[in-house]
Amino acid sequence: MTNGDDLIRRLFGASAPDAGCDGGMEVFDLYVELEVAGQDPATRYPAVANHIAACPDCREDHEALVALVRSVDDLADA
Amino acid sequence: MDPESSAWLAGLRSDGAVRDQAVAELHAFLVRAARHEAARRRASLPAHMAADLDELGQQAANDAAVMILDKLDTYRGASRFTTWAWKFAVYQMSAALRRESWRNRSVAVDSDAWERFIDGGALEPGRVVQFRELLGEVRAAIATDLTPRQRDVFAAVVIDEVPIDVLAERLGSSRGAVYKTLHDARAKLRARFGARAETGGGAAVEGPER
Repeated sequence: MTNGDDLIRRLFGASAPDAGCDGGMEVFDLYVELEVAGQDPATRYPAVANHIAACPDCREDHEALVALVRSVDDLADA
Repeated sequence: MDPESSAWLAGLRSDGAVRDQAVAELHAFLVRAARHEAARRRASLPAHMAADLDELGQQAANDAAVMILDKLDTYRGASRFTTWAWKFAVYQMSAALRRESWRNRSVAVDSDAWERFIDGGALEPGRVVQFRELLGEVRAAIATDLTPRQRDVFAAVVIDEVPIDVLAERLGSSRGAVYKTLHDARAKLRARFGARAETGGGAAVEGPER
């Protein structure tokens, strides 16, 4: 059960700066490498973090890139 | 720049057989990335797509390779070359999977979509009625405040969860342009609903703004 925050976010998005799809795409590789390294990419790229939260397609792409980088890092660590 | 990234770059920037070999290796690398994404999402894909995944992966790799070679001069080595290249493969494969998943589906929003939107939120029982009221007001605001294009994009993406890539293809537009339309529509609704458009423990649905 949820309090509806997710639906509110889907309806209204956020008033925070938003990098847009092209702006996100430009730095997704840097963003994901920071994330996989255990750092907080939202601190370095807040407008990209806001965009990922607001754009369903870019959110999926972000998840996919994280999964891809992690899969290779896991293989390298094994 | 790390040695592996330098080697990729040197190969792709060379001439003749060396470059051909590097491009072939890049393509094979991108195909593996595309297949990884297809495998990751296989459970959520329509069954009829299973036979097409290899071909979609090849095409996504082709398209990603074109993007990468076109943008090669913009790569500065701030990330690993492989991560940089993968983002293009992911972009192309994700878009292909979305479009193919929706190939024979309509993007028209039916009246049940609004109910499904609420159901999908798995709301606490005490919030359903309040949220239904809010949603009624949002529907009214959509009709009065948004342009026809904003209305269509908002309803399809937010209420019916049509992927932006799919909508962009059908509108003859791009992901970025459709998202901008959505972003502008949401901004208008935020302006209309004020504090009720903010998240934070569900306070947004507790009472209308007067």
